[in-house]
Amino acid sequence: MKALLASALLLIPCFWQSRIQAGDLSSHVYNAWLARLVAQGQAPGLSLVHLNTNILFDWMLSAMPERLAVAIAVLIFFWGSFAFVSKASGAPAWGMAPVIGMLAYGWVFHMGFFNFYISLGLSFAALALAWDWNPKLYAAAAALLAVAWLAHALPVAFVIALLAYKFLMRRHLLVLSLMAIIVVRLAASARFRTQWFASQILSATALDQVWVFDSKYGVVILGLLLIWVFALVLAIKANKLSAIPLHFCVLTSFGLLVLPSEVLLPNYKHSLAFIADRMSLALGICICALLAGSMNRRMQHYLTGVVVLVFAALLFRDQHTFNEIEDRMQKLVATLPPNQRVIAAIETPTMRVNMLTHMIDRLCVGRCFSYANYEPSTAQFRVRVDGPNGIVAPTYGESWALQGGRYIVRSTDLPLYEIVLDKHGEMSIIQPTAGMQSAVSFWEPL
Amino acid sequence: MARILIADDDMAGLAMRRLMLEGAGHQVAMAMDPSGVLRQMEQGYDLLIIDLRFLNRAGIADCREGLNLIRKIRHAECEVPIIVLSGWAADLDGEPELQMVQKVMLKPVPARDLLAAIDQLVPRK
Repeated sequence: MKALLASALLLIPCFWQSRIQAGDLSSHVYNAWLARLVAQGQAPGLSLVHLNTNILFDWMLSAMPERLAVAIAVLIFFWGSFAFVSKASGAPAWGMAPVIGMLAYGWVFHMGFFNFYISLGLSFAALALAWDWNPKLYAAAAALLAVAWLAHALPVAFVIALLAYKFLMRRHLLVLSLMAIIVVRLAASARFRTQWFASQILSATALDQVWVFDSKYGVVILGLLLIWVFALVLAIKANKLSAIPLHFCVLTSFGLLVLPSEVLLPNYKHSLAFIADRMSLALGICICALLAGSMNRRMQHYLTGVVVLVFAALLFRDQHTFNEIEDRMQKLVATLPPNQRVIAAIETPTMRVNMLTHMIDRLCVGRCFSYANYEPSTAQFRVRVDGPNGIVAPTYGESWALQGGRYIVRSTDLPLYEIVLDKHGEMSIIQPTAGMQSAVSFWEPL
Repeated sequence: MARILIADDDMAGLAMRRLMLEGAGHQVAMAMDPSGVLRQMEQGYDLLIIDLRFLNRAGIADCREGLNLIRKIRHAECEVPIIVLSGWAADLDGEPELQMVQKVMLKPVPARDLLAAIDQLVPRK
């Protein structure tokens, strides 16, 4: 009963508005439609490839409505994380459940990284199953990890590393592991094209997960910090910090601080990006596991309740704003003849998630082609570009230039429609001619 | 010996590059963001080695921060040679800022290649 009520509360943000606003979600929905067109032979120049990872959520979108797929993803993430936090803390972690719920609707969710998100939830569930030695539970954990791999490889690798650490744990292993992380960093930077960013310092606290859009989320960061510091002080006083979750936190945090957040592997057309920004969600859950046993004072529940409500109110307001923008964009797109190429390069320099760049993708489903869509040209997803075509930019460089307003329009791109904004935020459609630079608008909608 | 200002928001990478350049006899200063570069420019360096991707106002790495930096340096009529040292040098493709820099090198760059590029741009006195 408690679990049903928690699930119902958890899913409110999936149903509280006309659409779910989550960055890349629009692109995933659009590419699920493109995949159907390719399969029906209606998308010349594009093809489908078989993938064994980075695909699970896209299959879900092909099989069910978008809102249901997202709701299932949220439940998988939350209950997988809850299972791990409860197992690691030795009791059902209801006191920490609101914080896990808040992390479930954090930066990773709003970036629309649903394959990573599902994989992390499943991987944590596998970690909970494999916590104690039991062959049957181990087999179940292995099966869960195999499914998680279909979604994203990174959380699977992370959880296997944590499991290995747990079973090898003895004196000096923490120090050796920290040194190994430094060696990996040096080796990766010497061998591959990598990038480390100063923002990783915040990622190493996991607080960046609740910094979703703009600076007003600073109040939620402060609230989450208070919740965790309060619980940490109580845990230290009561000598309740258990070694394994503590080591998991230290190692994950150090890894986020030291390892590069972006890597370009050989033979890849696009780098593996936002590694630290994604993995800080894993750290957040590890911190919950460390502190869950110290979330039993009434004052803590009040504080957590207030922070969750503020977070939900901010998200509701911002999602409402984005839905209004999408409504306006939808009306404009409806005025176009069918099957046209459309781009909407709108930058939001002060937001951590640009919700506007991919908005056009979802609006184009069944109606038009989002010409700047990045998925097919990155060769990381199932829909691929075989060459010049009338549907998407053939290379990632061109897609990126279109998104940033740095693309010189060619005659083969025409007709092309661009959604632009004037300085008052009024939206209109223009038609560039060959030789013109593509348009980009800058906006602060929040 | 050249006076070199290197700019990157990767602290560890910056420190390693400084060690390498100082080992080769150069005098090195460091900056971790574009404003740090602009603040130090008046000290008159022989060469700038800069990354492109720095954090923007939203805390997201953005190559436009590096492109703006290059533009600001050139608009200040500063002719100091610039090497862009980036993992994603394609960020400069088709950009006008490509014409404003002397060399673009891809990370990871072997030390001998970087030193050769420096010797080429700043002949030893």
